[in-house]
Parts: sequence; structure tokens; C-alpha cells
Amino acid sequence: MTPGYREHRTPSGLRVLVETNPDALSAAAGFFVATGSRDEAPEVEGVSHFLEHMCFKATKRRDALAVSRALDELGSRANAYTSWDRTVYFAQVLPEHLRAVIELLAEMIDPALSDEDFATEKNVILEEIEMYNDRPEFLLFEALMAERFHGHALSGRILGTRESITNLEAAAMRAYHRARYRSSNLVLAVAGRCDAEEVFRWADALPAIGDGAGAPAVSPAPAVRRGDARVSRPQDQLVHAVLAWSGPTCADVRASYAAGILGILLGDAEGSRLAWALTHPGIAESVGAGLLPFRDTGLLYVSWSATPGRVAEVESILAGELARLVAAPPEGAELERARTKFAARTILGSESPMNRMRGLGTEAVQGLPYLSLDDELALLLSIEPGEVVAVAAGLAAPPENRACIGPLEETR
Amino acid sequence: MSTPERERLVETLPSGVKLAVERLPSVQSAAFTVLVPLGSAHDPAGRSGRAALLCEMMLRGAGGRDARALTEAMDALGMERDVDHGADALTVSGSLLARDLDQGLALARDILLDPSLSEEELEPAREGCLLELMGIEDNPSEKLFVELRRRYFPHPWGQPLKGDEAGLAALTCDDLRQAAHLLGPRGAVVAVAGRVDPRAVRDRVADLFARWPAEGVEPVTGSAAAEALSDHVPKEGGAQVQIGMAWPGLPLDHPDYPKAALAATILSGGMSGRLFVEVREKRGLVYSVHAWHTTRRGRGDYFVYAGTTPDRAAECLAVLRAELEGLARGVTAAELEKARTQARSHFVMRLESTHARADAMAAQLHEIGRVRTPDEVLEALGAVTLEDLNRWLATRSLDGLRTLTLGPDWREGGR
Repeated sequence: MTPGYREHRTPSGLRVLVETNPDALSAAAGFFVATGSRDEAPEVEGVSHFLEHMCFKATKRRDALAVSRALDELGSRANAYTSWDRTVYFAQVLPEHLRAVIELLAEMIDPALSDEDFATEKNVILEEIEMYNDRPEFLLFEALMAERFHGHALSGRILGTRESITNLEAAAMRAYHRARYRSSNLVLAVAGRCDAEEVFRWADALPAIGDGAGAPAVSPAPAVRRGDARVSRPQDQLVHAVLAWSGPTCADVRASYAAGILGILLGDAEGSRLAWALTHPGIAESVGAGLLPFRDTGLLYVSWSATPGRVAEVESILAGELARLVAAPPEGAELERARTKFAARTILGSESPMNRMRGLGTEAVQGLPYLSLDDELALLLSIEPGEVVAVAAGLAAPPENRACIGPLEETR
Repeated sequence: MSTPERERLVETLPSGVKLAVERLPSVQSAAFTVLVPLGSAHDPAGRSGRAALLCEMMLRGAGGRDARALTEAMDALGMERDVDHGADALTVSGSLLARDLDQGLALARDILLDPSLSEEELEPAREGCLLELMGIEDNPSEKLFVELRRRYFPHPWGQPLKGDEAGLAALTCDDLRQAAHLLGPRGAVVAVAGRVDPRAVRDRVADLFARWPAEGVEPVTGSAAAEALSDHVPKEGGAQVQIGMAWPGLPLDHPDYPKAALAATILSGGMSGRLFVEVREKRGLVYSVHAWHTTRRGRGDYFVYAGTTPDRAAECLAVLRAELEGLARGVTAAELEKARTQARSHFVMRLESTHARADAMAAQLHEIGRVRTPDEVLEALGAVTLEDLNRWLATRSLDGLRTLTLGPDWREGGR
């Protein structure tokens, strides 16, 4: 078991990435499918996420309960998620079960997609939609995406809508699966206590998924639309708001790291400029700032929540702090503290095989080069103040989008 | 299944503080949890929220540093930190690079034993706590458990952890100083896990936590019945009905505790647990349903959560109830083996996290006065036979079960 990173491609076109840590007690494996809500036609809004659920139901070899039992009998911590550009199926296990869980996940992502499972699971998806309807912070971000990327699939709801899910048919899902789930469109990432050669052999033996004929379509780059979204929820106590500007894409790795430092400096829960200006004095309930990068667009955001009576005050203070980013740019001890927090979180996070695996797979799906922990830290340490200032300069202009949700009629 | 051999030191320091240190040689981090037995159950009448406000104020200046200097000192170390509390304990915890542990512990000591509690920070801190209450109002699943705890736990254990508006409004700096001056080594616990030298940590902790304001917090004595309140909390505008249930389990040092834990896994471990299968997979009634068993000093309790739309709530409750009752009729060998594998596996995976390990050791020292070694935990799980488990399950009644719903009115005839 040699520590470090190795890559491999199986005969069926599956990319396999393995990062070995002999000191870990467990191993984590994930299949990253390069498809998500941005790849959906409007009439199948929510199909990627619904399909994610269906991959936990009957496969071609066993029924849904047998799949669940198998995952649990391996003692796994297993789950999945759907994002705009990827759908990920993952599990963490003790090393002796790694092969079995990789084979099981591979079987699961080529499911039976039966009409019966589809009908029952539709109800679960509808319940999930209602659950998120009770979470205003979640709805806020959806409102932002809907406004900013209007006319592009990035504007759609990852979960779909009551209407789109109710109308979705199993045949449409099967077609989507055939088009998007292919060995050449997947990455298998494994991290922790594992042997790369063994994992490559196991991966080589996995059945191919899809017929490998041609590559799936790549969704076009979105245009950004300026504009505001307001969602009134009189039943809420707090107003939640988010502002957005254009920022670096995934491909600009240095700028992404600079944006990460900036996000901590500007909007971290404690010790940031917005925390001192807004949450520490009890004016806002929460603040946040960061980068949401895609392969072909990037979004810098600042978010906050407050009572309706404080909204005007928060907006005024926030405007002042954004102006101050230019007048008193990030540098010196303040910048170093943000960098240190970023570095410490990276190091602490690296002690979890699950975190390392997720980073491996996400980077691969987004077309980024592999970075070891040492590479990440070296990159982080090398970021110049000027690079952080350059990202911050993007926030000097008026935001391209504003979204807010809550008891808006009461705001002063 | 074997666990790594880890050097561990568990002892009671001369001051009376209990200490546990576990060495993980292959990580870069260290994590600590300092615990004192002061929680929201100690909030005096009319001052509900004292523990919450104290936690908030502790990070706003300590050891002669004001809020900014304290925050910058912690940020300069890149230390992740939290000051939090439950019903019967308050914790100061941190994770950082192992080489900075000494400084991190010194800051934790200042936060706990030398907080500034200054007048100028009181109003913003109070406002922060009130805003947190509003956030809970907007989060129906969180609000559900505030209300369930009030109805389930005897008073004062069911008092809202984060307090109430009236209590928070009434609290003064003097109230907070009085609380801070109750702290003492009796019942205090320090746990550390990471790339550390246990003896060096012991010497450092003994030195830092030698002097306290008092002997220690008096345990809460006596309890009144839980509040007699309705079974449904109406809340307008919600999309889902929140369902919560609670019933008695077992404390950590009870000889049957492993059975109680395994029963929870059979009910709700993974996607083949009984609740997930019956409520979600087969009937599609929910997205979210789960059960868990949690312990505190002297007791353990089961909880269930589910969220469903109003027209499904009656069926959801019926299925949940049936499953809880069904457990008394026994489990299969396959279910037990699966639960055993899950419990052991998850336990070993948690050993990878210095933060999780420090928290677990602190909780155990607090609840049962000692640390359960990994071997002990795995052996206890392995020792439960099917006959023992089923015999135990057959004796369990649901007499103490409390059920609560929150949200839109789903009840037949309601509205």
C-alpha cells in the first residue's frame, strides 16, 4: 500500500482515481457522473435528481430492499447527491468491504428503472420538495439561480417542481439515463486505506455502462442576466438575502483559491469584516460570502439574514463594507488570518477519507488537475495579496443580482 | 474486526478535573473538549436562556482580551472552535494543528474561567440570542424538538435550550457572572485527541485548570412533571407536518445499553432500517424519517422524526406507531447481524476524527465517569445474542411515549 495518488482508465473508458492513505482506518469510494440539472431540457426538470433516487431502487439483479440491505450489511455510510453539473454516489466502509461496495455502487448506477419503483419514489420526491419549501435559505438560492441564469438550464430547480415531477414519465428518465450514464462519462474516485493496483483491477472487471456510442452533449455556457428576485413569505420571522457578481470559473484555480481566502476574510461566521459589522453587534442574524464556480461561469456571493426592521440598516452597512474592500483592501495580518483559517480547515478536512474522495472526484468532473494536500497548501501559501484584491475588485460594482425572501412587506 | 492500538491516558487531576488523552500518531490535528456540568436545566425561573447567553458572551472577551483580540488570537491559530451547551453541560471545544494545542488549551481555559462578560457586549450578545430564537421559529423541524422536549422531559430538563424571549430580556451581566462563578473542578472534564504526547498534555491541563472560582456547580435536584401541553403545535404557512416522538431508553452504563443501541440501529440504521423501509420506501410517505437513541448522565432516550404533507400525516403516524410496537415482538438474526456490523463499522470510522473522539471521551467521562475503550465497545456489541435482545425488547413498553406534531392542522375534524 504505497501512499499517494494514481490514475487509471479501464477498457470501458471509466477513469479511476485513487489516493492512498495507509494511516486511515477506512476507505471512501464514489462514482461521479458528469451530469446534473444543467443538462436537463425544461420538460424534464428534476430528472437528474429523481434518477439519483432511482439508483437506490431495484437494479437489474436485485430488488430495492436487497440493495439497501447490501449497503447496510457492508457497514457502509452511503449516500448520493445531485448538483448542477454532477450526480455523485458514494460510500465509506472499512477496508475489507471496499471491493464489494465499489461493485455494488457500479451495479446501482445502472438500475432497473421499473414503473412501480418510479411511481412510489415520485411521492418521496414530492415530499422532499415540500420539505425544502419549509427552508427559506434554500429557496433563496434557487430564486437567485432562476433569475441570474434565466433561459438556461442552470435556472431550473435541481429537485424539479411539483408540476415537472408529477408529469415526469419513466420512459423519459430511461432515455436520460441512456444518454448520460456511460462509462466514459463517469469517474470512480477512491481515497483512504486502499491499494491502487487492487482498485484498478476491480474497476477493470466492472461491466461497462451504456453502449459507449459518442459522448453525451455538453450544455452550453450560460449568459448572465442582471435582475432581482423577491419572494414574499409573510409567515417567516427573518428576511434572507443574497447578492451576486461574476467571479472566477473552476478553471481559474488560483483565482478560485484567492476567492476562497476573500470569502473567509469578508464573510466568515466569526472574525470577518461582515461578522464584525453585522452579526457581532446583533444587527444581522447571519452573514456569508464565497464563490460558486462552474466550468464556464462563476458567481461571487454575499448573503445575510435579519429581521425586517433591520433590512435598511443592513443594506447600508453592507454597501459601506463592500466599498471599504476597495478603500482598505485585504492585506497584512488580516489576510494572513484568513489564509491560516483556510489552510487549517484544509488540513483538518484531509483527515477524512470521505472529504479527500469528494475532492478527487469533483476536481476530475470539473476538468481540474489533481492536487495533493501538500499541493493545495503550497498553492494556498503562494496566493499574493494582489490576487485576492483582484477578486475583491469585482465586488466594487453594483451587484448583478439581488434575491431576497421572507416577510418582505414588513421591511423598513 | 480490530481497532488500532492507541496510547491513552485517563486520570483525575489533583484539582479534581477528570482528564482523558488519546494519541493518534498519524494525523496532524489535535482536538479538545472541555466540559462543565452547567446547562439550561440550571437556568433559574424567569431567566431561561442564561446558559445560551453565557456561551455567547464567553467568546466576546476573555483572559484580558476584548472580543476582537480573542477572535484574532484564535484565528491566528486557524482554530475551529465552539462554545455550546445542552441541558446539563456546557462545552468549550476546539480543533487545530497539534503543534498549537498548548495555545489552544490556554485560550479555552481563559474562555471558560476568565471571561470578560463586559457590559458593552451584553446587548449585542442578547440580540444575537434573540435572533437565534427567531431562526428556530423559521425552521419547523427545529421548533418541533424545542416543543417536544418541553412535553417529554421533567422540568427543568425540558426548558428550551436556547431560552425564551422573556428570560433573555431579563438577564444581566451579574446573572452571568453568578453563573460563571459557580464553575469548579467537580464534574469538570477535559478530553484531548490527536498527535499529542499524553503526559505532556496532562501536565499542561493540570497547570491550566488548577484554579477555579468555586468547587463546582450543584447538580439540579428534584424535578417536576413535564409541562402538560397539547399534542399539536399549530404553525401557519408550513408545507409539511413535523412529527416527533420520544420514549425512554437506557443510560450509557446500563448493562443492557448495547441492546438499546442495537435496537435503534435495527429501527433506523441506514436505508434498510424498519422505519425507512415501511414509511418511505414502501409507502412514499416521507423524504425524511429517522430514529435515534441518545444518552445523558443517568438516562437515555429514543427519538423519532418524520416530515410529511398534511394529508399523509395520519397514515404516517399510524405506521410509525405500528413499527415501534412491532419491535417488542422481536427482531431476526439477520437484522441483529446487520445492526452489529453497522454499529461496529460506524464506531471505527468515527475513531478517525480527532474532534469526534475528544467529544465522545468528554461525554463519557461526564455521563459515566470513565472512557469506554474501543475494544470494550466492540466486545459489548459482539456479546449481545438474539435471545437476549428479543427477551429485552419484549419487556419494553411504550407507556412513556410522547408524540407531537407541528405545522398545518392535519387532524380529522381539526379546523
